Parts: sequence; structure tokens; C-alpha cells
Amino acid sequence: MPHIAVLASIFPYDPNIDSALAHRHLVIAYSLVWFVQLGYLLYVGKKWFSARASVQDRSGDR
Amino acid sequence: MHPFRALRWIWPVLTVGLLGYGLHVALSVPADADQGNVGRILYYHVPTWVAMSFCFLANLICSIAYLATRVRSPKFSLQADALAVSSAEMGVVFCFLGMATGSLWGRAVWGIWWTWDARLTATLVLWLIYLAYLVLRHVVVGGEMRTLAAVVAIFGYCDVPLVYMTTRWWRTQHPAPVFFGGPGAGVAPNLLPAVQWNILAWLAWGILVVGIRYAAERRHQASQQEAAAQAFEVNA
Repeated sequence: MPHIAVLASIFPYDPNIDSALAHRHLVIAYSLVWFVQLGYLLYVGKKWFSARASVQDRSGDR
Repeated sequence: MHPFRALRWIWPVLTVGLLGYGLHVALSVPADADQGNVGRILYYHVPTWVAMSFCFLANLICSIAYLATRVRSPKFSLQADALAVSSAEMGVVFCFLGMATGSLWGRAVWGIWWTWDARLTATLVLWLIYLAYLVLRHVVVGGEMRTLAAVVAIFGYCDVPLVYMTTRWWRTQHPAPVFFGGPGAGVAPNLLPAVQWNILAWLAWGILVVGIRYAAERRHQASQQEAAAQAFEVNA
């Protein structure tokens, strides 16, 4: 996964105390939180825009 | 300018600032002496639980408010219902992320992805209850949907204190409570800012997203009311 490899350099890693698995899971955990939260924000934004369009359509019908 | 209008712009900026600073602190505090750097997962894991608890508490309060006011004050009750569904959705997202980050941490520290201990099982049940609450709102049609959803939310909330108490009542694989856990509990003073700033940041994020979702739900309700009024006019 090249995108994970790019992110991995941001996260602290000390081979004396960390395993490769632990480092990978640290990167995945932070990426997952941001990915899911931003994905949900997109969903909420889409819902907001579609609800606004729906209200405007109905007002226009009147 | 109305103060609430200013808040619409200040709050997102404040939230992004808090999230950025929270991330910086989480990655720059010293590594945990026992766990190494993988312990940093907990700086995101713990705040998701705190934020989830507030979301489900808001859902409970709004559900009670909906049931109490739906006859006397329909407008207020619809506002309460909109906030109830918004906070439940956000809570489900936080709950999922809490389980996922916990599982990633558990695999690295315990060597297992999951175990059916009381804390983890009760949390999974909690997530499923609120998922069922959201599904119910989509599949039930008619005026009683909101009432039914509010009743489910009140019963569903019973699992929240249960989840918190599991590590006190039973021996679990999950660590003992970090906050309010009695003597020996707590976070090392030099690591505490990472937890505190991220709790603050993700709470601000939760308020921001719930606010946008609430506005969308209120518009959806207005659209439904307009449609009902138009249908009434056509029939009349």
C-alpha cells in the first residue's frame, strides 16, 4: 500500500522498542479515523445540500 | 452580525485548529515506556469513546424531550428528534472507530484482534443497538416512526453505563478504567496532554458534524411538511 508507506514517515518509529506490525497498526489506526470521519462529513454535507435543494424546489413549485 | 452566525465560521476554524494541534501533540509526546509508539493509538481511541458517550447521552435527552413534548409543542419535538438522529449517527461512527482502533491496538499489544470479554461484547451490542435505531428510522414509514425510535433510543441507552461498568464488575481482557478508575489509574502526566487535547478536538468535531447533520435533518423535516401541505391542498 504506497499511500500507507508515505504516511508511515510521519509517525514515530523506534526499531528498538517498536515492531513493524505495531508501527503499521499505528499508521492504519490514525488513517482510518481520519478517513472515516472525513467520509462521514462528506455524507453529511451531501445530505445538507440535497435537503436544501429539495426545500428550494418545493418553494419554487408554490 | 448575530453571534450564532459568527460561530458558524469560528467553530469549524477552531475545530480544525484543535484537530491539528491534537495530532501534533499525539505524535510528539514521548513514547509509552511499556508499549512503545503503538500506545499512541490510545490518544485517538480514548477520545472516540468520550465523544461517543456524549453523542449517545444527547440522543437519550433528545429522545425523552421528543416524547415529552410531541403533543404540547410539535415544533420543539421535531427539533429534538432532529438532534436525536444527528447525535446517534455521530455516536455510531465514534463507536465503530473506537472498536476498530482498539482492535488494531489489541493485535499489536495482546496479539489478538478481538476477544469475547464483557467490555468488548457489550460495546459491540451497543453499536448494534444504535445501528438498529438508525435502520428503524429508515424502514418504518408513518407518523409513529419518531415515537418508536425515541422509545428504542431510551432502552438502548441502558447499555452505555453497562459498557462503562463491565471492567469494574467482571475480570476482562480490556484494561481497567483510565479515568475515575481509583488508585493507580490514570495517564502519566507527560502523556496526559495528548489525551486531553484530542478529547477536546474530537468533541469539537462531533459538535460541528452533528450541527451540520441537524441542519440537514431540519431542512428534510421542512420539506416533508411542505409536501404534506401540498398534498392536503390537492386533495382539498
